[in-house]
Amino acid sequence: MRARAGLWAVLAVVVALSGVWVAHRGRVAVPAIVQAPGHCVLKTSVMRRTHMQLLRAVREEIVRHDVRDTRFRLTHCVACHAQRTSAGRAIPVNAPGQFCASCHAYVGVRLDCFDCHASVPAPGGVGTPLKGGAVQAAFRMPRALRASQAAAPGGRP
Amino acid sequence: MKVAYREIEGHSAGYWLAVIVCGLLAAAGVAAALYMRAEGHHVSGMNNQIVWGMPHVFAVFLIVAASGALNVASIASVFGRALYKPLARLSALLAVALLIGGLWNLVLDLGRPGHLLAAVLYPNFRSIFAWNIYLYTGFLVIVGFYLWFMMERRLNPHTHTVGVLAFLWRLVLTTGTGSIFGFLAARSAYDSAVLAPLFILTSFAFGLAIFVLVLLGGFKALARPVGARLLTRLRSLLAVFVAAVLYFVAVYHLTNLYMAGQRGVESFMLVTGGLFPWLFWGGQVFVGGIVPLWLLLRPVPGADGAALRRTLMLGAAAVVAGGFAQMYVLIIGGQSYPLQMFPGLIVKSRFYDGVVHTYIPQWPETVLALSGVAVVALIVLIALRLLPFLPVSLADDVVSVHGVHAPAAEAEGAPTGART
Amino acid sequence: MSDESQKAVSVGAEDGGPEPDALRRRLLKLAGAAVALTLAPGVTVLARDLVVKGPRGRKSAVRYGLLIDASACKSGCDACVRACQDYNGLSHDPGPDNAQWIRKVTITNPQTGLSRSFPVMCQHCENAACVDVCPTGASFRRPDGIVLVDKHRCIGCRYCLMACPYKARSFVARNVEDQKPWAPRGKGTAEGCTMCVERVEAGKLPACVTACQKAGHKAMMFGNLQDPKSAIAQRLSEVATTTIRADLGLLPSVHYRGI
Repeated sequence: MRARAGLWAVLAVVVALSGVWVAHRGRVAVPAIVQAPGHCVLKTSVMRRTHMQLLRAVREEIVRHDVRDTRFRLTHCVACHAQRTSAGRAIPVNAPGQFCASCHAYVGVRLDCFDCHASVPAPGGVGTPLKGGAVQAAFRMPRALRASQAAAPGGRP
Repeated sequence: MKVAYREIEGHSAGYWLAVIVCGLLAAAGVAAALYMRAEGHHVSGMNNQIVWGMPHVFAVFLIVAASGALNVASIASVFGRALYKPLARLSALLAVALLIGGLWNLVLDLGRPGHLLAAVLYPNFRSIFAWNIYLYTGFLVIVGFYLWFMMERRLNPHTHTVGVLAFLWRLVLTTGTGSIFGFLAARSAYDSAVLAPLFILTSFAFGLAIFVLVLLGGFKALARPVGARLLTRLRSLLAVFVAAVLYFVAVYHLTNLYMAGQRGVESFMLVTGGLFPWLFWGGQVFVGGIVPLWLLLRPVPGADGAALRRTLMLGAAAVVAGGFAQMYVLIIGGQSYPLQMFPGLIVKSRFYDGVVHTYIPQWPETVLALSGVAVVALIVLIALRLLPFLPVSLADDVVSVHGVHAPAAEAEGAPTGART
Repeated sequence: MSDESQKAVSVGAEDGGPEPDALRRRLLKLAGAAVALTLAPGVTVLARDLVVKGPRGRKSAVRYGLLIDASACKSGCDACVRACQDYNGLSHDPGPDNAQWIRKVTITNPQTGLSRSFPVMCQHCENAACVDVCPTGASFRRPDGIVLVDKHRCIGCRYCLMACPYKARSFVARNVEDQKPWAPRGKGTAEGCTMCVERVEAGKLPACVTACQKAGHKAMMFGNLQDPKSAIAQRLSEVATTTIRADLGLLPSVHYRGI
């Protein structure tokens, strides 16, 4: 009997503590995404949902099959989406509040790309931002992705 | 003759103390692993020269011992020795627990344990490691079934079949573990086909030694009787295994000594290598070989139960101690000896070419290594309390030596759940 | 580049995308692969050889390699090592934890007293021990002969460090920041010389070879071993060379002269 009462007491304390924690934590700020210059490789709504699938599939091609000329390269993402300080220095995309970090914090998904990958663009050359409508036209949304979009109605803010 | 099994009560202060200590040590191991994961392995004593350290010494010891611990059950169900039948349940339990403890060390030491799924998604079957993943998980499943068949009366008749499967599987498993090192052509101390059979014999000795320690320690704590007949048998069995290990160790070193190119590594291991010759001669050969042989082969006048038990316990403890020395010499010593990139030439570089590497274990990996042992103990302690693994008595009038029971009578009639 | 599939795609990309169908098919394939990887691991395991190795697994007409002339390499010069560290973002400090993708090794024959100094890096073996022992296939050999670590799959078991006879693999034991975009590297994974794969694909020489040329020693030569007209292949057919630990049968792509 005593053991059971003790268990309930422990449970009550845990619930109370988690309540306090949730109350103090407050709400995570809605990510304020800064529009990158130029065009992304796919529509924003598609990229938002499928960027990881694309990166995952493409990395197989890049790393293992020496296919380097795909548009879906993390270096390209970083090149466009890294903001710069007024002094012109690039801010890492995984720094708090930045393009990748703000959204990942909001949805609570761990971001581990930049454990290994550079989070700022190369000083020159590699990974230049894409420009022009031709690219956009070339990358019409694939059917598989369209289907996955239809299956998940309602976009996130 | 029916053998009765019973759970342990597990109410004593000693039991709870053991559970708490092991639980805390296991938790400390997780903390150490998280620390190494967060900081990187530079906080450990392992580096690019000594690649595998304490966690691997313990892991390989536990995994080797796991397959060996199953031998007692195999002797009973595969080779039909009735004397060992009452011990089969504990034997299988120890096998599972030791393997989980070893894997615990290996997995928690990985640089990227989160990527482990890749080993299932993209297995590379040219890799012994990939094979071992299947051998280890398969072993757990098969021994799980084996235990179930032994403990469920209706399934008793099939115990022999699954026992044979488990026995064959464990031989392959230990071959795989030995081949982790045996297939490494790059390193002079490894690269030997003898390592696989040596590991199998080693597993016989380690496994039985740990089994003996748990059995006799447990029976002493529970005040359950063990007869002289069983003690005598276990003594000579362990002595045979220890002698066989010494034989294979001798073959391994003699082969190397005979090959001129291998004399460098041999003189390092046996004479000049600082700590390693001490561990080899003092730990592996003397404590792990000569001492147990002397203890176990010494005649005990009048089948004195206490003397038999004492010599068996001490002998088993010496085998375990010598076993750790053996693993340390093999794993750490084998890496300390410089890679022979240019045999016969003097090699120098800023990257430690041609120099003997030193390994100083730091606390994170040492705690992790010890936590694997704690996990083994924790599993055994909890399992013994939940299910009837241990026979009520192993006195001479209970165990049978020559009478071979009918299969149906194997491991029968446990008063399951009858706690007294 | 000899790989036809690659050629087709690169033509499309350079023109600003006049082949939307080809690209779409590719994307579909990739999305399909992603779905398969997520949903059907069992099937993926079986189909892996078809999907991953596929037609690209065939014998390639390209095999990149190096020829290192130990008689031209200057003792005390470490231009190649510095260049590698600078280009790939590695530390100059040779601590036991730190990576060393390339190092200068000095060998001395105790019987004759002859000394030689030359760089040693990943030998990009045809039968690479690291590729054989890797449980996940993270260590792999590309069709063009370059041996790499796919860090997305590396579990950090360090079996490749144990297996490599050249000590060419390192384990990243610290948190890494300020990686170079072309050389991703991170804590908990194995790594080694990449033969500057990004530069090679862009038609440039590996950083170490360039540095050696700049230093005026010309002890390192890079090229396609499979192309009989390449300078390296012709040189290899003229002068006596060897590979390190040739007895192991690993068939390295790095050849040495004068060791």
